[in-house]
Amino acid sequence: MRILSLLQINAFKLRQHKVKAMFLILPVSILMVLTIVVSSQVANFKSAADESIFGTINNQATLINLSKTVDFTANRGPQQQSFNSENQFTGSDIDKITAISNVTSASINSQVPVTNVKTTDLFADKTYNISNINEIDKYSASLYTQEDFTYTEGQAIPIILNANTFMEQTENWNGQTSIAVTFNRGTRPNTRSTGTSAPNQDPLSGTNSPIKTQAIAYDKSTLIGKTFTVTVGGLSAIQDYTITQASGTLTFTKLTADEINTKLATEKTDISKYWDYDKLNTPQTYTFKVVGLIESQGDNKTYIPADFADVVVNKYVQNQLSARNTTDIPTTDLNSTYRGITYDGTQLTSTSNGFGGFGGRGGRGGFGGGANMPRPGENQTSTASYNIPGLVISLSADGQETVEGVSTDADVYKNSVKTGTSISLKINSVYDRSQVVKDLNTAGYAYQDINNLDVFNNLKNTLSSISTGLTISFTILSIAVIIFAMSKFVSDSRKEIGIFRAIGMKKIHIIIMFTTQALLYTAIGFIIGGGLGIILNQASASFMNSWFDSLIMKTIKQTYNVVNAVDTSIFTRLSWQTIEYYSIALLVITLVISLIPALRASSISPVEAIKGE
Amino acid sequence: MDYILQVKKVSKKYKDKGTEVTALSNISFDLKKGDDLAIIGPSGSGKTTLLQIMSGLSQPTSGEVLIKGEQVHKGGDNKISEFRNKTIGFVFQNIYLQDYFTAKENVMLPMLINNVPRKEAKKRAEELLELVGLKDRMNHKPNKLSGGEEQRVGIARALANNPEILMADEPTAKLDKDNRDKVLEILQDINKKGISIIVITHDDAFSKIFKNVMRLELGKIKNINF
Repeated sequence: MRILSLLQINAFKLRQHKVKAMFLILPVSILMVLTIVVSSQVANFKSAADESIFGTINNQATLINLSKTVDFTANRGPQQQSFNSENQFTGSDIDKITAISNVTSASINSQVPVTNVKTTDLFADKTYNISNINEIDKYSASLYTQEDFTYTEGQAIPIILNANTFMEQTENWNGQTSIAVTFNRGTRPNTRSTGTSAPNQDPLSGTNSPIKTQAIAYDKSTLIGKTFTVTVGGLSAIQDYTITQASGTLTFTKLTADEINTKLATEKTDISKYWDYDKLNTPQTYTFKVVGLIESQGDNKTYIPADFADVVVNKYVQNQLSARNTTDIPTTDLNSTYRGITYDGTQLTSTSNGFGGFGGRGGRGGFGGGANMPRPGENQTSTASYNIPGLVISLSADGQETVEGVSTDADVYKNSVKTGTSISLKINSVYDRSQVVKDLNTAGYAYQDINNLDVFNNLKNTLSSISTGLTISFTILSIAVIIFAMSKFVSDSRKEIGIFRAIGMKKIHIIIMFTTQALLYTAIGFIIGGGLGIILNQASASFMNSWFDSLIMKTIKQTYNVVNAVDTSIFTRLSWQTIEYYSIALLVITLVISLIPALRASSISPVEAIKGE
Repeated sequence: MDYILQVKKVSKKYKDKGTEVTALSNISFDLKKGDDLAIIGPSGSGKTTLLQIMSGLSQPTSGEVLIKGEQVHKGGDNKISEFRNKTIGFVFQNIYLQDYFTAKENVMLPMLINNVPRKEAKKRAEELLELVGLKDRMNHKPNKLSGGEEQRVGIARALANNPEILMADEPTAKLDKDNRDKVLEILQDINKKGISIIVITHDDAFSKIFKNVMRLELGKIKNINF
């Protein structure tokens, strides 16, 4: 008997008994759909995880940001952290850290010595004073951004903002001119935001205080990628109030218009002695682009590219130098009446509390860049002093810090030995991380590593196991389905088999007939399930995408600021390798497994056909 | 003498619940080519067992069956199957047409098993269905045919490979009188064409019409009227 005739018998049988054929076609279709969708999505998840989770770990885990411990519980808050050398990393730290094996590079995130850095177009109707600006190299910047963090003249300068500094100070005198506030030790305002921020208070802005500090609400998604204009330098606005302290009470007194004008006139006269007032008061303008946003607590730094830091300080100093007249400034006035950056021939320090200190209106009336709170025993009635933007005061290099004059080197920052409260270091490979962390601690740099590579390695292994497990499960299920369905077909066909045998069909033809039946039905299930699987795989892509995004948010985003993005079409991919494997496995299984019921069918005695007549 | 069928001392025993039962005991007879034979007898007389042995579907415990002088039970399964396909035509009491085939396709089946080219098989199936009076019903499926029509298709199927002997097991048992007469008439026509026919039956009509009648009782030949 020809094979074609046997195939035709099966085709006719299928046409007549479609419902029964579904016993095999349907489960094979379902298995095929599951194989395609589940295997593809598991493979896609693996790829996405490789790109996003493991890729991030591989990139990010080679970077460490080592910070000097900042005690946020201190009553003055971090913005008033003094600039003493004990809190600064120096060149010797870099030498020690780069000596650790497998550390490929280390650089200090030096604070950029510029003041009055502000923007009015980043947040609608709000002036945001950008504080604590630090430089960072492009390698370390990848801790916070995926974008290229290099400065290119003529293009928007990349900047990594810090949400913890999104604050604005406002005044509300409620119609009064003097307000007494009981001075309580405040805590640092919690400005961590998940998108919008509730108003917070700082130590100065108690309920009754006319000076309010409020967090600025922001939306990360609209902030990232935004370009905005920043002014750097210029003289700070006159503080329009005074604060006096007496036995635990702070008294805020609003200045009258006359008093302000007098103060302004005095300032103008004092500064004009040595500088062109208007020129000195002219800030530089730059266009920045937000490429990263730090939201984690315990970090107040805003980052700009290291190469740009040299440029901005150069122009900042240059502006001061070009505004200078020829009159010599007595050394006694330098660093007292006229404050600025000091330079001892090696390092730069600031005479004010911080360069771009929190609360940009500082630096006048004898108080530094911090908030304008008098120290105990001090009142704001001291002799006026002025923060001169770009003024670099030369100190003796003998450690006595004797004021020697005004430095005329505009590249002083570029040439100085940088110091800073954090060091970014890059490790050779992710596998060296734990050893480097150990060595850092041995070298005296207390560093608690929050990376837990074991968890991710376990996840990676689990994913591989799931993938293998699924493939094995589908294979076993296919065997079960074919055995079950074909056994049913055989037992339902006993009479038919008997008749066929009685009229002369050979055993081998019975075997071929049932094997080809299994192949035909499986092929139909394969085609239906395959088509449906491909469609469903596409349909499930958006769901998988959003699920993966939320997984990333809940997991790796908690550890890393920057997580490698995955191709949005990743979940539409089909795992051809698995599909090929399963197709071949299905063909082999069908052929081999259907032989069992087919052999049983061939052994049915033709007498069965006549029995019962 | 030219015999189509020779049954020589055929016995069949089997065990039923530990007891040996003799289904057939020492059956011997010969049938000449072109002859007919009605095997009659009550239920349990061994008629069906004898038919199964004669057609090679079942092995005798002892004795032998020769068709056209060839031992039916000699050789492997393939040889016996082929022999059955080419030499013997079967008509079943329950007919057993395949519901997924039309009348014509059912008739074509034994020819396809015999590797007859499809075109030729189709032509012959049409001729055979015309012979049994089903020219207009050949493209109908079994569920559209009456019982009598189905049995006529069954007879056409039995004749597909032009067998020299046709064996029928109670071919009229489930038919009404009109259909029974029609079937009888067809079988007689076939016999007239030189095809030997053996019918197992309860139907007395066969004993009146058939030239040779054999009566079986309790596995033995009660009487034989050749």
